Amino acid sequence: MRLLPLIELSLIKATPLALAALGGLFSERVGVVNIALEGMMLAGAFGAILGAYFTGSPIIGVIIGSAFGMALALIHGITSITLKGDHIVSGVAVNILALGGTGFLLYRIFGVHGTSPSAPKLGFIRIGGDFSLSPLFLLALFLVFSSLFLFYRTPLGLRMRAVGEDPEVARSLGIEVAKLRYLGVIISGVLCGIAGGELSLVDLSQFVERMTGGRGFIALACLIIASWRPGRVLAVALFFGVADALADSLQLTNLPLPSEFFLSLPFILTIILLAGFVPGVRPPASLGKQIRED
Amino acid sequence: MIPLLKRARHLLFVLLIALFLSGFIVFLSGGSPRLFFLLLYTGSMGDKEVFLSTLIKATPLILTGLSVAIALQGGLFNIGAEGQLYLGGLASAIVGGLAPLPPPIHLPLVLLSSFAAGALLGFLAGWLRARRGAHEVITTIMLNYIVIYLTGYLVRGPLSAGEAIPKTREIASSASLPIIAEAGSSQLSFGFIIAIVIVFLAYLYLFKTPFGYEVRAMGRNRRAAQRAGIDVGRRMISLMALAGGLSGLAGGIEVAGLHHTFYSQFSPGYGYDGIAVALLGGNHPLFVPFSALFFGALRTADRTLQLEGGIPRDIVLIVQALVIIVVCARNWRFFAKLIRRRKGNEIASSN
Repeated sequence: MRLLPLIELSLIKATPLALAALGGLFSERVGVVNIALEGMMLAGAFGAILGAYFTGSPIIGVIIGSAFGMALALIHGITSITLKGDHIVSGVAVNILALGGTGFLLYRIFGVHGTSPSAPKLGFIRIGGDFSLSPLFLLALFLVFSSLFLFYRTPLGLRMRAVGEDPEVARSLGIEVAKLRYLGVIISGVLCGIAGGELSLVDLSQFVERMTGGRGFIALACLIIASWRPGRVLAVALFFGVADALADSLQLTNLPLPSEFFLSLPFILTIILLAGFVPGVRPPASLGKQIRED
Repeated sequence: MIPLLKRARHLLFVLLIALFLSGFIVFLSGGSPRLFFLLLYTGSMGDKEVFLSTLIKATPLILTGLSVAIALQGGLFNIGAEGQLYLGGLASAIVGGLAPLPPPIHLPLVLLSSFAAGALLGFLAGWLRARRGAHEVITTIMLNYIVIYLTGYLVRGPLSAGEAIPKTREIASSASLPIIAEAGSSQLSFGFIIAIVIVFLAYLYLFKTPFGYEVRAMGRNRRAAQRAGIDVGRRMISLMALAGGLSGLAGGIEVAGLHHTFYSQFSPGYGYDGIAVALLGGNHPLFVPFSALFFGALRTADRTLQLEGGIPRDIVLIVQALVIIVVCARNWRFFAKLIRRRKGNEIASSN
């Protein structure tokens, strides 16, 4: 097995996970549980195809995709922040809405079920020789480092973390708690939308119903295993990317294992990791809790 | 009885809002809301055939709805109903495929095996939560994917009946549930009666037994329950096992009463529908059948909606999501406040 293609494949597999998990981090670091990553990614994947198909530009596609992710995030925000619904229940609703909404629009706009027509793909960036990278991987890398800077080096980041740890104290310091919660949730939608764009415009060049196939939940697991820290999120996403790429390549060799084994591998791995003791896992203290009315 | 009446009123209120919103969405997408509501009615209760079909689809929903509801009563979120249903369906197809046995033995064995298979999955999630601290929301979702892939492999490979469609062998006739009503292509099996009986059992269990009391205490305030001497960890594990068992039984009844075989992509999402069923029913066992009936009607009408109304069948999922959002929103006073503030501004600006 050659090493270079394997690294390439690993990075492709890791990109949507890293983006979505980082999105989840923004939401959960301000205290809003987000199991809607899956749905926001799916909406992003659909929006990206829609944009790329009608404008012919995959870059505009990714932007439309992130807007789709953001729209769903806004619904999650309204339900869980303003209307004070249970965060997990709201997340379930958003996931179902994404599933139904993308199917609904796919039929209404393209008149088909299942698979959309193809749209122009987002090209790879060639980095010397045979090695090329998805531009969205570079974006993910950049976003991880800028969120490290944001959370640990800027007043805004400090405030966001404060809201996630103790909204009451944050409020007493004059921080607008609800606004920062919305900000975190909306950023998560944008990032998940981009992650969806990676799936539909880089991996493939079309939208397939349910194409996220649980990656949003794996991203959520990445976030938990990474203990809600941006640097570790990238590391864990890369780990899952490598595992996924290995599974893909093993599938091509003649091992007597069914494809379903490799498909379920990331889920099995996640349960084992969550059940074992991952050192130092500590969620933001106010995660899932409602904030008091102003 | 007053709380029950209040709950019924709440259920109707939520339904009306969700239906109104869905009609609005149909309108936005260029369809006719009137046609939507008309087809929703004729497509699910217009004649005996579709009405029976509504009852057939409500049967698994009652059980997955109960599964989610009793777990939520204990403060646990079972998103794993879908996987539990798959494993239960597979187990009953295996047991049902054994050489014919006398029906009074075979049939209960089939249903028990489906319950046991689902309970096993629920037990695993409960154990992971209580003993290893892995949140049940995440683990049950992961288990759904694992089980669906696993059963998909099994019916394609080792358990395949050898036909083009990956499915198991037909179950023996001694393992099938009797049919109690029939119209056109709709055959309602005795499974519906079983589901209704289990509704009452679940009610008695939750509200009339010490165990149920402990479960509800745990759901209200886990720490207080623990202080009061309830072994919360053990309750969590047994509650999840029970919840899993109910969803497994839903799969078993699907096999023994309807499909008579297990195939990949066995359920159109009855497990996930169970979440909406439970929430719309206020997690109360006695209200679960009504909300299951509503979602069963939606699932039955989706064909008519698409074929005769050109409204994509995915509208069913959108209605479901809206119902969940409306149920989960707590702070409706926000809107009242918003309106009041707007009025206040108008008065202020007119002065």
